[in-house]
Amino acid sequence: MQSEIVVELINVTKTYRLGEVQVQALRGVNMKASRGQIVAIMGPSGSGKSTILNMVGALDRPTSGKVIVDGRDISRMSEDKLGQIRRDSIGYIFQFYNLIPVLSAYENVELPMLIAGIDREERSKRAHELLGLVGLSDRAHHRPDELSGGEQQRVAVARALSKRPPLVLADEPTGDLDSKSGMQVMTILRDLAKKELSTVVMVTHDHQMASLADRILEIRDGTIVKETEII
Amino acid sequence: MSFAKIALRNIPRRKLRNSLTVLGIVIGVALLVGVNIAAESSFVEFKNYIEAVGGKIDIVVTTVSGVPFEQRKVDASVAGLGYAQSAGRLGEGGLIRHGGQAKAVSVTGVDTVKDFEYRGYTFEGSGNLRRNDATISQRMSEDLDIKIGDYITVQMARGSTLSLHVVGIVKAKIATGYDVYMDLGFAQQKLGYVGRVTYAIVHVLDMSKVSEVRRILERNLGESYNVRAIKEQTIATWEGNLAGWRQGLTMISTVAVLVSVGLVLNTMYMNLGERTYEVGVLRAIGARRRDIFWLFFSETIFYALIGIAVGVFAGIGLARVLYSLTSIVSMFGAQSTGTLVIRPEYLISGGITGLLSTIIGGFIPSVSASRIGILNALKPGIRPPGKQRTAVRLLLAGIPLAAAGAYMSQSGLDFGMLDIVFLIIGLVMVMSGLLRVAEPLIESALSPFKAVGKLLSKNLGRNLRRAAITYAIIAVCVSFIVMMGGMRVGMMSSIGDTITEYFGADIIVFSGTSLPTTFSKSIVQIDPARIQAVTPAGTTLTKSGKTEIGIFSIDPDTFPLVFDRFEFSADTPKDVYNQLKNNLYSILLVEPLAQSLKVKVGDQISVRTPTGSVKLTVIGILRGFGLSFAQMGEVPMSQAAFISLRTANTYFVAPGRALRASIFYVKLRQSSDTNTVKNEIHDKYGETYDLQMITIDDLMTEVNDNVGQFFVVFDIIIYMAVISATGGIAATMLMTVNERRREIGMLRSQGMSSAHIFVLVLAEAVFLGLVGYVVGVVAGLFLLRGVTVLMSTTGLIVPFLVPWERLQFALLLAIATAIIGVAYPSLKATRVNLIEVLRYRG
Repeated sequence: MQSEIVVELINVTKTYRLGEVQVQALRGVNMKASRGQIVAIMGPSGSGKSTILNMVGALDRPTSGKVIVDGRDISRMSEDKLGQIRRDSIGYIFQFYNLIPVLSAYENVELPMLIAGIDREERSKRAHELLGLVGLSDRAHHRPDELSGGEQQRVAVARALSKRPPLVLADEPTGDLDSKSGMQVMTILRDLAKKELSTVVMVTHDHQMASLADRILEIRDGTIVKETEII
Repeated sequence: MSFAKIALRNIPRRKLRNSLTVLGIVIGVALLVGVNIAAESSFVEFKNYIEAVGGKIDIVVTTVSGVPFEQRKVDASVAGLGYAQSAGRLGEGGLIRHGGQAKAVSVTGVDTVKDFEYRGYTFEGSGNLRRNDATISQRMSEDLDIKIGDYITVQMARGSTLSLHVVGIVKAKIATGYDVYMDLGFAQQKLGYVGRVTYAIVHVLDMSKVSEVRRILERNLGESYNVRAIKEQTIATWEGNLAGWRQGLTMISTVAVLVSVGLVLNTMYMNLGERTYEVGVLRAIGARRRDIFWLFFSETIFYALIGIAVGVFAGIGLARVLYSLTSIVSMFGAQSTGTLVIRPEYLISGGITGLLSTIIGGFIPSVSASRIGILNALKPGIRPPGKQRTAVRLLLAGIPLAAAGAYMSQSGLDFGMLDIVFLIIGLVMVMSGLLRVAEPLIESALSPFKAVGKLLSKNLGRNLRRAAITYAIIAVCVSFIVMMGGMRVGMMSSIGDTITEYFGADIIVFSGTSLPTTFSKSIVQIDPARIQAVTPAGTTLTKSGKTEIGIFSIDPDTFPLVFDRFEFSADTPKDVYNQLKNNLYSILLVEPLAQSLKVKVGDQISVRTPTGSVKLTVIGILRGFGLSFAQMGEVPMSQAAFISLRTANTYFVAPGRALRASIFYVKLRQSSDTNTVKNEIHDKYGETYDLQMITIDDLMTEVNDNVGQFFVVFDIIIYMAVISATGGIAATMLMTVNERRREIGMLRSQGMSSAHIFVLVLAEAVFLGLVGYVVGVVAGLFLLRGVTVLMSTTGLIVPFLVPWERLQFALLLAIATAIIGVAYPSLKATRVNLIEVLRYRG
């Protein structure tokens, strides 16, 4: 069965200039991810995994090659159009300081929908639904400093999925959590993504977390060196 | 839920910092509101006071020469108008002896039927006056113990004696002198002025027509008469004074506004610095640049709204304090009511200024926030270091800016806030550039202090923008302290020079009534060993053409013995006083009057006299920079002329009246004690002639006090700005300590003591204070120069004098401000939890 391709990188390179030195973070990366698939990217520090995430997440543009997200080539898009992509098509989960500290859990989940211009009724319904799915209905009005690390990341998962984005990016989502909380968060992310048919591309150091993915890509020195399908 | 909501919720996050920022806005708004309300309240109270004191007298008519005139002339002009009424009065000075006391009194003949002012008085006893009847003032009744039914004898100045029966006592609302009222017809008969009055009073029923009536009277009566709308003129004069005063206060208040701009700027940059990651998250989830801009800008608006709301109320409270210091009526010896006049436009203008200043401070950081790159925001590790502004760049940018500010402030054309802003910003940039250049020197100078010195020298170059804004805030305050200090010193010097030049006498004796000029000899006789010379001066007003002239009649023999420092124009002959003495047709003019009349030495001017006019030759022109604002009695020096007593007696005194003087200038022999002689004169003649005396020291003290009080209000305003600046330093250092918590933890883990940490933070703040001080002094001296240039264009010459004492005071204040501001942050730095911060992943 041929699944719809949500993310595709075609021969993508990325070079950074740090002072006098040029650093090639990506050297001709090719990858695909289908709808509903969970892809984990692993590699040592400085291998380029975060750079791939930046490309896919419309946070940065490649030096060469193509990045196609949800059928649109975003490689040479303007900043405004990239912003549009981020609003409409991508959800983010960061390692820490995901949430806006002055907003409650409910308001944090609601925020991307507000930015996207979704009406109040729809926002409210969706936010409550997602908080229920992540098991935090009773904590909806608590602020981040009143939630544990794991609870905060669960809220971040709910927020990332609030707009029903075709693509969710997670940068070390469990990096700051203990293994039990981390497993809990990953499980919720996986289950929700499958339910919502969102593709998840995540960067992780943790093999245990990576094992929850459908595919694992290993990257070294800016190139994907190994691809493993998890059955 | 919106970005404005996020902005509002962020405000309580950094309570202390945000409170200090809002405090700065509050102070700026409060000052602007308070100054305007105080000035307006003072003026309205003054107007009401003048109305009360002036009663129904709107216009007073006298002759230029002071000679009594026919009342019917005024009555004829007024009768034709349906909305005015007039009455004549005959006034003369006299002496009363009663109950063993002798007092100079003012005797006024009134028409009890037509005199609207007199009819409005409240009397104990009767106010009706028949031939020998009199009513007296309450003060006279109390001081001399004169009761209704008593008989009093008054020795009149012209020699006649009046025996009067007291039938009533005038209950005045305002304190008066020793006044005796008698029937006008009887007074005219006894004093030999049948049908004549010395002045006429006019009441205009419709206040808006006072000027019109004045013009009609001037036209009908001609140039021999002085027609003064007393209340209108007094109010107009003070309105002009107050406008200038208010403008000055408002300008000084801008120092607080500028400080608040700096505070908001610094705080918003600090907020941005702390929330850069948050900005990245928001951008990553789809927020637009403009959303980020409005997130931060909304915060600025909220600061403004809170600051304005509190500031307006604080301003009303402050107005009470300023009002008590600027009350005009208290200068006249009256009690101020303290009633505030609060006009909405003052509250609105204060609020708008507060809003604008906050917007100016918050706009650029909000734009910066919107321009942050997402990746840089999300990945602190790859965030590039702050733009390194090299010394060359700073100097290249700062020097032209400072030069422009200096040039604009010196040109004297339109001295204002822009000059100050350019100057301060330019100098701060130049100073920052110089500090960059001097970094190795600073490091080496601080090396004796080992680790603390090393760290301090490195820290001083960190976060240049934040440091520069803090320098600027301190510099603004210091510059105003220096400028106002210089103005005070300059004004004192200018006034002091004028006093010593033009009031060459050691004691000035004022008589409550005019005395014969021979009284000067009586004064010398009191203590010839101590008293070198006494010279009398009579004053009279006259006109040459349409120009008013204040004539001082002097004794050419004794006058130069007392006033020995006058300077004359180059073409004034050396024997000018001899010429004045021997030539009845000679006159000395002061320079501004000569310029106004367009005459020089040798020219003739025609001057009005009681009987017509006389042509006098200008034999000399008197020079001096103090002429523009000095006064001798009621006559401004810029309109003064000098003639001899003989000339005055011949042409300016009505037939049968001897020239009299009310001012006597006493010069003492060297090393004579002024107070001893003053007491001697008072003991001998003080009570009899109702003498008031003032020594040069008294004058200088009074001037010093008046100038001091004038500047107290300015000082209050500047000190309030200093409070804001202290808050700014506190906020800056709190942020600095917060940012360096991990660093502090590491230093402590390496063995540095809490005391060293405390000193490190303290020293950094003191350095900020010192740099701000240096910039402020330089800027302040430029501003002082600019203000003196500006004042000279208005005719007021204030020398440029460096206020050394004030510079020392400003230095202590800058250091104290820094220390107070950094006290809490320094303490906080010593209490950093090592374990917590070393585990913290920033």
